[in-house]
Amino acid sequence: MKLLTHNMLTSHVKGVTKGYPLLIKATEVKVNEVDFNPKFVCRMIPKLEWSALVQAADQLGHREDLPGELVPDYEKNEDFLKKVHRVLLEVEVIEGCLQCPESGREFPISRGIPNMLLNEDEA
Amino acid sequence: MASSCRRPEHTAPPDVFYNENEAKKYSQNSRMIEIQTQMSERAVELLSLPEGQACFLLDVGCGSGLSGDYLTEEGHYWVGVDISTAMLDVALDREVEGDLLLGDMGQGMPFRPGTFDGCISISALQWLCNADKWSHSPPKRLYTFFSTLYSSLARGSRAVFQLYPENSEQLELITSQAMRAGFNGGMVVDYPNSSKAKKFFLCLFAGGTEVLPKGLGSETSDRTVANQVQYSGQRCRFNNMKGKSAKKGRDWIMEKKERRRRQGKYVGNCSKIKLIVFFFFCSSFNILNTLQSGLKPVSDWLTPLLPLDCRFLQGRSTRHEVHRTSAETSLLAVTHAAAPSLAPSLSHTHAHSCSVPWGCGVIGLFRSLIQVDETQAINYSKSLFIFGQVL
Repeated sequence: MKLLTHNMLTSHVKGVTKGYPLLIKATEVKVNEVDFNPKFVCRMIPKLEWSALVQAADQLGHREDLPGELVPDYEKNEDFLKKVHRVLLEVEVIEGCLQCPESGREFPISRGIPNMLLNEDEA
Repeated sequence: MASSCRRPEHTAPPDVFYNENEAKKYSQNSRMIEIQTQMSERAVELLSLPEGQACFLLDVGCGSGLSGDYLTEEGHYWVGVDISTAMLDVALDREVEGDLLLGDMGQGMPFRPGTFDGCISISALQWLCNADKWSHSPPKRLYTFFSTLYSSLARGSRAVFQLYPENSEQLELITSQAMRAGFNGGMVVDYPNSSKAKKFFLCLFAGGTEVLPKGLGSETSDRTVANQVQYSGQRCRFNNMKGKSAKKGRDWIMEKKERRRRQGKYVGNCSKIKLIVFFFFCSSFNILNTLQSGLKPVSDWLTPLLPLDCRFLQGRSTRHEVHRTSAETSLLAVTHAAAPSLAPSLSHTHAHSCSVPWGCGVIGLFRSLIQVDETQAINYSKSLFIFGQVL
């Protein structure tokens, strides 16, 4: 699971109003090379929940000196975009689990695939 | 639409049906791969994403990631959701670029609002119409899916679903739940007149007032597809006739008769008697039925007329330059078969040309159609002849 996906994922357990951001408890993290596309990263940055991204990157130990606040004029700052690209698309959680901050429900991650299936009573 | 025994969603729930064996097909069967890719191409075309822009897309029911491969090819980033672990394992083995999630679409899409620039789904939506567990309610699951999908899409973006609907009620259920969730749009049917190439696409718009795209292969669509054979079934038999008339037509018959006449061969007259007799033959049963139930038996008033007709026929046929039409020959045969005692002269002069079996055939026909005995059938065939002459 890439951190871009994590940034968009919420808990959809029944009764949870703000299941975001999901806490990452990773046991295995991998870094995969992905082609750098500055345009795409630029387009995605406004959609991101910045604090959640920084927090997730911190938890995985791949913060890459990302600032706590989003810098202005990031479109022209290629160094910054490359760092964001690395965190968003190259860092992947392979094994571990995601935890809903509200209900404490855990979604296991195996082989890089989070299991978001709910039980009968949670749907 | 396919019969129920061939629909996979009737055999087992999707997480059970798409097991290792079934999943393997999606990485090995070249025909399946080709069809999936073609449908993904069309679905992405219907998404009408901005030109040359890398988009973040959702693939619902991504399976082994065949549709995702096409998205990657087009330069997009995607997240795939599927309920079958076996299919996702195949996707992992194929090293797809997109991120994968194990999830049930009926439980809703677990994403933040406005995340995706579009959503595609190939052959997945019809699975939602089945209740595989006691707790499943298809309308409710469809609504949960569509409403969570609606919120996770950016405003003005689209969702395109290729699906195999079972019947019109199913389609209605799907579209009505999508509309309830806030989408607008509708069905796009490609090649509506072909049973095999026909494809259903549900095109949904999240906000915005857009016009539904046209389906391929319908009369209103004038676009051409480069990599598909155009009109392979079109008949071209009129193209290579080289100036000849259409076979079995009136002109063709006349030409053929003219040709045979030039060759000095026997050619029948071009008369209309065949038509008259045929017309009469069709309508005579009513008359005969009336006659049968009428005051006089048919034979009573027919017999005095018969020698006259035999003489008439005899007179005509002695002139050898006059060619009899086949209808006349047949009528003669009827008379001959009906009353051999009344026309003894006919039997030796016309034995070569009278097709007696034809006459017997007519009598047989009478016997079987109105179920009378032989003498009555003979009488009817006589009256047929008389009426033919009158007409």
